[in-house]
Amino acid sequence: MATAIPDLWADDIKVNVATPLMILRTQEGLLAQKTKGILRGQVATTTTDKWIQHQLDLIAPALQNYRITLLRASHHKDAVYPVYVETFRVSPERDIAGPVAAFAGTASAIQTAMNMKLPEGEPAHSEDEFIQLVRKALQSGDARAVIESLIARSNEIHSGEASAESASP
Amino acid sequence: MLSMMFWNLRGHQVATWPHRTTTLLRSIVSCVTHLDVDLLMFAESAFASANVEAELTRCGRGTFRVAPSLHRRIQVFSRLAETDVIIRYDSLDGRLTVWRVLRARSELLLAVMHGHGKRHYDALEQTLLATDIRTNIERTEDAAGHRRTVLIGDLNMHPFDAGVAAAGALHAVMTRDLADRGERRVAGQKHRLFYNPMWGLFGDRTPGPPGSLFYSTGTPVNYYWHMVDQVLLRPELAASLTELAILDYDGQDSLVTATGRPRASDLSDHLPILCRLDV
Repeated sequence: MATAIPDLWADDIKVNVATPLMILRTQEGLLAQKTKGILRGQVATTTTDKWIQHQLDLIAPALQNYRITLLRASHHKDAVYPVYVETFRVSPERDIAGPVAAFAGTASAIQTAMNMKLPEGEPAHSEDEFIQLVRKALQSGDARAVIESLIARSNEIHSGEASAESASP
Repeated sequence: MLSMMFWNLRGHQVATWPHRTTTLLRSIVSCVTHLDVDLLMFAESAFASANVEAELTRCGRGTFRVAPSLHRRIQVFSRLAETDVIIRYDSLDGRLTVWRVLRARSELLLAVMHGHGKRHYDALEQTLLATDIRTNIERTEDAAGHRRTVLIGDLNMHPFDAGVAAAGALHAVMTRDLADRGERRVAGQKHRLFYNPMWGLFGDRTPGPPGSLFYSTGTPVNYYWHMVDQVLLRPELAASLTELAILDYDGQDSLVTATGRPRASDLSDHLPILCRLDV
């Protein structure tokens, strides 16, 4: 009797998969809620002939709308996964031995096969991997430091305005 | 008048940095003293900002402060009022910062850039990265509500490289009248223009050094002199450019060797660039 052929597909295949853009857009609104509007997120998308790039910026309205890019996610025009995630670092020296090198083998194989350069950053092959990378990026020490700094400086400005108002006749 | 100087100090050459710091700082102070510089911008600076602030202020040309930014890749020092130089944008990797500079008659955006080098990035990658720089400059212009923008820095590309010249990238052209159109339509899409006055400084039949960086290779194409340090202006600011120079003299000492090359061993292999805007 023939052996039963097993199910070879991954157990965690889902049908409700979101695109990287949907996931990032959700974070926009959540940041404004969490910070009571002191900071807001903004996703901007640029498209080249082959790649689509989304960048998640933080904006501090009280600081003359100061903007800083916190995360960049790039994927091919025809496939939203894999998506390559580059994240903010305070000391962003190019780390040859870092994540780029770790994925260099896979990356160069795909690159050769597709005859194209891949974007920089760590690849996420699924929605779950992307969510994990974004979570890691947004909760990193560097990102937290930027968020805290901008909130503190915005509060400083708001408290200065409040005391000026209370001092005025 | 607004006088600005940009210099790539080559602080990444850590082995030589310690014995270059004294001569570098002396030259920087001399430039400020003799050339009346308001804003100093450095790429690859390994200086502690407090040291530079103290040395610059000691020369009696005003109180210089480092302009605060969340990144360390580009340092900006200014003797303008603190409220007159305000950060507007920091890129993901710190290679682009955009500042709002307030003057009595107008406001301008100062974009300072340190582009990715040719050693690690090929021309296509540099062009793609320049596209990103362009996009973020335009977003900052849109938020500011004007296009009085000057871009200054080590672009790590030549004025004729696609990353500088191409529509979709920085889109900088060699004459003011070409840039005066403001935008150019390519494949149905409008692209903002920069004027790139660096074209006028190439070679040995113009005043000053032939380029801003001397780098010789054994490869068939060897330019020797490179014009990677550049000033680009939007047409809205182009008329206000009163002076542009690659400096070979800091007002006291020569910045080049007897053969006319940058003093790479005790200063930097890049020469500083100076520009003055009547704003």
